[in-house]
Amino acid sequence: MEQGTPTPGSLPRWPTGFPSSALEDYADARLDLNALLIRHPAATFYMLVNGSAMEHDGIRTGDIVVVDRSIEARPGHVIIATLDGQLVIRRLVGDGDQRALVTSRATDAPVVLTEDLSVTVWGVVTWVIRPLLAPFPHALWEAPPPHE
Amino acid sequence: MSDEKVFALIDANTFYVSCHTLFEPRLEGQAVAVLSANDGNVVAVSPRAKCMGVRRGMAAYHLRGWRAQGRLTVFSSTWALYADLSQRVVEVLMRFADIEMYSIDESFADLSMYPVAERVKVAQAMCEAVARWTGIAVAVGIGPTKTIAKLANTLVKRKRERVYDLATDPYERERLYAGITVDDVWGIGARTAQKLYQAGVYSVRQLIHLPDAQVRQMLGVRGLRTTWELRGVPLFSLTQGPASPKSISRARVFGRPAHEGELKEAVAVFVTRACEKVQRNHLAASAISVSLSTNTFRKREPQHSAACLIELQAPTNSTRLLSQAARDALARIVREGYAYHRLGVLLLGLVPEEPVQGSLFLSQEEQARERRIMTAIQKINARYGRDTIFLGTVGFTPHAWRQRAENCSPRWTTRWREIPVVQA
Repeated sequence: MEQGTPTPGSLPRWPTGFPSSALEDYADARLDLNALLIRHPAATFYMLVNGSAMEHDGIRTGDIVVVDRSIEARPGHVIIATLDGQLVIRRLVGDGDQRALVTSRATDAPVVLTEDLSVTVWGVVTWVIRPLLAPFPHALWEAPPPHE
Repeated sequence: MSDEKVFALIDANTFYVSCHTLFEPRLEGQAVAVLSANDGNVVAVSPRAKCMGVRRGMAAYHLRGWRAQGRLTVFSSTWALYADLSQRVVEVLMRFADIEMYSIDESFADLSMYPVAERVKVAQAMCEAVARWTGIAVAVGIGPTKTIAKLANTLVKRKRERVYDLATDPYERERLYAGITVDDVWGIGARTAQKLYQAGVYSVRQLIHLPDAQVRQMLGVRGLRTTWELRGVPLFSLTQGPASPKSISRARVFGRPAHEGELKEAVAVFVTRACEKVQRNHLAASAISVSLSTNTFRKREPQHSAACLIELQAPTNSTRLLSQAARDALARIVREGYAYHRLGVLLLGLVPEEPVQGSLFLSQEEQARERRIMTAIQKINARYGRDTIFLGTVGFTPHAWRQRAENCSPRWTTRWREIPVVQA
């Protein structure tokens, strides 16, 4: 079995190895999603997913991904990369000179990373946020500014 | 040895342009120009645009030819984006040292606590961390005084390196001074430089060897301070020094830990002071930053440093609007249970005050009200002394005004509706 895949009845204890202190700061206050989702505020960005290439990895159109630039991309990470001047979401596989970007579709050819500067790792995807009730665009998009 | 000072100036390379290319990588290496508030003139150019002949200060309509040919991408100033990324850069830098933000894209750091041998390594680590965490490329100048650090930073950009150390070798420094003209020095403006040229003083080396009396006579006390700083005598602490032409700052270190009430009071005073200066110079600010930190030398106490930058809907010099923004900023960063030691307020993105500008964003009525309040305060203060009246917590409703800007970039990091789309 692939490492890190939860088996029924044994939930992973803490998926991304959070430092406990980040959560303890809020121990006596109401739970705060920021404390859970954001480990490095200065390096965290959000992006909206468009396209079906990562669907088998559970990432779909309309999802919001949390991207942490401070984390070093390792094989297996889902990352944001710049590919031909565009921001794309892919899985990074392989090691050393053999690194490649793959989609979750078996039909897509992997993009092998070379010294070519047109491909760079932009950041590592740490969480996926999916609205279940509101269809895309999410209700959030239409929310009035708080002062009105 | 222990009281030897070392400062660094960390400066982002073409900061505004980098903020745009970070989220639109297709623009990487392309010709990009950023316009001032209201699309007046060029305030930032990418290296490629510079090669084509695009210059800062150029009027927007001069860019039409390039734009028609599709060779130049133009953005209106997107302060929300610059403010957020600038704040991220400062947050990363604060992990390394005490930081004093000097303008939107420049910060001073006090590296005195690092051993001599490690300074350059620390500076390099700062560059790497900022680039990785925020996507913004920065260069660092190091010196025994803030003035020398600033000069080192000017040189680092010319040398296209990331770190330049003028702190370690005074002889090397003096040799370099012979090749640097006085107008490159922080705090020596065009007019002061002219005076020196007339006296036959061209290089920094000539300047530091002038007798104090002559420097003082020609350049005044300020010029003398700058000269001493160039000689390597630190006179400016982290929060002091010549003002940036791009920003106005007020900062102080508290003698004892300040509680929240005192911080609020201090912010109000700083903003009032800074606004007086902005108004005197007929300028308006595009953004305001409030920063605070605990005493980092008291390692045992809980530490917290934070900064908050707020973009203003339109450039303003209204003490009332700026005070409100500063209070909001303070409220966002202050945490209970910390003994705050240092507080700073910074007005950024200074642009000439335009009387017409207000009318675009505020209704006639609001504008008149704003003016009446400000004039009344100024009159009373002029008559009874500066601090007779300053603004308390006056409520105000944010207005639905927006700037005239035809080439707006999405505010990638501050609006959910405008976050970048990533292709899957």
